[in-house]
Amino acid sequence: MPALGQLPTELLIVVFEHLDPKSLLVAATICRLWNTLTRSPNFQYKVLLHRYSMVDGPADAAWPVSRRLESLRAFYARFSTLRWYKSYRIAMDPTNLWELFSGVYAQAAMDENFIKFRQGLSPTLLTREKTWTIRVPVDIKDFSMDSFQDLAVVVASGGNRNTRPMHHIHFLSMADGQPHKLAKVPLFSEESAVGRDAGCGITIQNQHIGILFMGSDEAGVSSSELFIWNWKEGKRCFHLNSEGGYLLETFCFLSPQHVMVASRDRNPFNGGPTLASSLDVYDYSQSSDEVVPHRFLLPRGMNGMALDIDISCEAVPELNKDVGRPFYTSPHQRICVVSFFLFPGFNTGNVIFFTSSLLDYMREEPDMHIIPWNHWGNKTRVTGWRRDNSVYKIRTSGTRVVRFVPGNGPRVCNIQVCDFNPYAIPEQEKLEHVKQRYVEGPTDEVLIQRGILDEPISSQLPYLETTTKGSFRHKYVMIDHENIYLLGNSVSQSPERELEVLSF
Amino acid sequence: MSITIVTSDNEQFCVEKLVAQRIALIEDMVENAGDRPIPLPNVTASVLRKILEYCEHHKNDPLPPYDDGSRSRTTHISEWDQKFITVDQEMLFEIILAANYLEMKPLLYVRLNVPRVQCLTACNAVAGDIGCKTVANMIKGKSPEEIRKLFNIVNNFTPEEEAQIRKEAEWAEDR
Repeated sequence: MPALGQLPTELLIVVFEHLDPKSLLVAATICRLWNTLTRSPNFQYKVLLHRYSMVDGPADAAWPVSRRLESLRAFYARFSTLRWYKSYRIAMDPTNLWELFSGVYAQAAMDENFIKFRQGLSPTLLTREKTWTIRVPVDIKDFSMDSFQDLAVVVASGGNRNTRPMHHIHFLSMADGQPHKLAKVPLFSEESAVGRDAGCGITIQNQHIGILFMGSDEAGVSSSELFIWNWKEGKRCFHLNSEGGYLLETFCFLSPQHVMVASRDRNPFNGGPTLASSLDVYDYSQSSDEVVPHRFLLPRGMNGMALDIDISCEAVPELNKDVGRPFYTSPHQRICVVSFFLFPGFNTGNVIFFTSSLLDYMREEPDMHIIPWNHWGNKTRVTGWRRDNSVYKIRTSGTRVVRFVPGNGPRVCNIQVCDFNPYAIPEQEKLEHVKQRYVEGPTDEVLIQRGILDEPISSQLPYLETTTKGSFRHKYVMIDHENIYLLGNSVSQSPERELEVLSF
Repeated sequence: MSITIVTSDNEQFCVEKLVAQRIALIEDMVENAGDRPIPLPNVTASVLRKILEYCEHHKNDPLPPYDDGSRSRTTHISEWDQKFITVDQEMLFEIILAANYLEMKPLLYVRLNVPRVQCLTACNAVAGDIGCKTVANMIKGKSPEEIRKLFNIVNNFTPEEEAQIRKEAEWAEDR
C-alpha cells in the first residue's frame, strides 16, 4: 500500500512549500531526507524571516534567496552582539534640522533652501556611500523623508500680520527636489491657529503624513494642531486642535488607521487638581468630527507638576518593488514606547505598547492587560517597564528598543539594545553579555498607583538585552534598522556638531 | 466530441473533449492517437474517476494567468474542492501522483507554448494546490512522532544527529 512517505521528492518539496515556518522546523526533525530537503535556502530563509520578525522584500534578480539568507544571518549576528560593522564620525554642518530613515541621513538648515543627504554604506542593502543635495523651492521650516517612496516632505510657513498663519507642505522627490510624481497635488496649504513660529513634528507612514504644529496663537497662548493627510490622494483625513486645556505634545502612527496623540495640560504650573496628561488613540479613517478617542490618563507628576512625554514608534515602511531591499521589518511587529518624565527630579517611567504578533509567543495569562479595542488589533497589550531614573532616551526599530543607560562616569551613557523577539539570537551564538530579562509588572509605583493601567499587570515579557562596553556622551540619538546615529553637543563656541555613526 | 481513455486496470472512459483538454497530457496525446483509445498505464480507474470529476467541475473556470513562478499561492480551498479532496490517505497519495504524472510530460512544452501551459492548471491545481496543501495541513500542528506514524517514516537519525537537530529547533518550541 502506498503511503504519503513515499511521495517523490519533487512533490514533497511542493508539500513543504505550503508549510508555515514552525511546521517546517518540525519537518526537519522527521528523518534524514526531510531534514535535507528543509535545509534548502528557500526553506531556511522562510524560517529565519519568521524568527527574526522580518518579511521578504520584493523579487529582485540581484537578490537570489541564498544571498538574502546570508545577508539576514549576518545582519542579525552583528545586531545581537553589538558588533559594529562600521563606526565613524562626521562633522556636521551648522544646521539645526536632521532626519534618519532607513540608512539615509539628511540635514538642512532652517530658512535655507537645500537638503543634504548622506546614504551610508550598508552591508545588508549593498548600498554604497553617497551624498547629494537637493534645492527646494521654499525656505525650509522643517522637513522629513521616506526613502522607500523617494519622498521628501518640506514644511514652510507663510501669511502676514493681517492674515491667519498658513503652513505649506511640499511633496518632493528626494532624488532631485522636483514635485513628487505620486502626489496628487504637490502642495498642501493649511490655515492654522498656530503661528509662524511653530515647531513641527513630521511622521510619514506610507500614504499618510502627520504633522504636529506647536507654538503659540495670535494671542500668544500656547497652541498646537495636528493634521494628517493622504498625500497620494491629495486630501486631508484628520485634524485635531489643542482644546479643553490640553496641549498636543507628540504623536505616532500605531496602525494604518490609528494615531496615538500625547497631550498635557496647557498650563503645567497652575497646580490644580485636574492637572494631568493623556494618551489618546484616534481612528483617523473616521471623519474627524465624530471620532472619539480611546483615552488613557497618564500618571500625574510630583507635586502636581505635569509630565513631559515622548513617544517612540518606528513608522512601518511599505513593501515597494522599486526599492531593492532583501527584507523588511514586519509591519505586524509594532513596538511603541511611551516615556514620561516626571518633574522634579527627572524620574521617568516607560510604558510599552505592543501591537505585534510577537505576542503570540508570550504565554497567555488571564490577568494580562488587554486594551479594550478589538478593532485596533486583538494582539495589543500594554505593559510598564521597570522605572529607571536614567533611561531617558529611547528609540525603537522593528522588535528592538535602543536606550541609553548610565555609563561609567558623569553624563556618559552606554547604549543598550533590547530585543523583544527573544528568539532572534540563535542558541549557539548566545554570548555572555547577551542577557535574557523580563519586563515585569507591576513593579512601578508610578504606573500602578496613579496610572495609565486601570488593571494591574503581572505578566512577564521576555527580551534580550546587550549593552555596549564603551560609553558615549551625546545629546540626541536616532536609529534605524541598522544604524545608531549619535549627535554630539556643540563643540565649544562653534556651532558645529559631531555625528557618530554606529552601523550594525 | 468525446475521447476514449484506457486506464492501467483496463477500464475505458469516454470523456468529453472539453473536459479532457483540462488534462494537458491527454490533450497532447489526442493529437497523435487519432481515433484510438488513449492509454494511461500509470493511472487506475478509481483515481482517473476522481480527476475527471475535478475536471468536469472546473471545465468552465477561467484559466488562471500564466504562472511565472512567483509563488503567490492562494491559501483558499473552495468548499467543493475541500469536499473533493476529503478522501483516504491512499487515494490522496494516488491523486497527487496521477495529477503530477498527467501534467509532467507536457511540462516539457511549457516554455515554448504559453497557451498550452494554461491547460495544465487543472492538474496543477489538483497536485500542487489542493493535494499537496492537504498533505501540508495534515503535517501542521502534529508532533514529529505523529507525523512519522502518519507517513510511515522511520526515524533514521543517529542519536547524536537527533540531539543536534532538537537543539536547533529549540527556539521554536513555545510558539
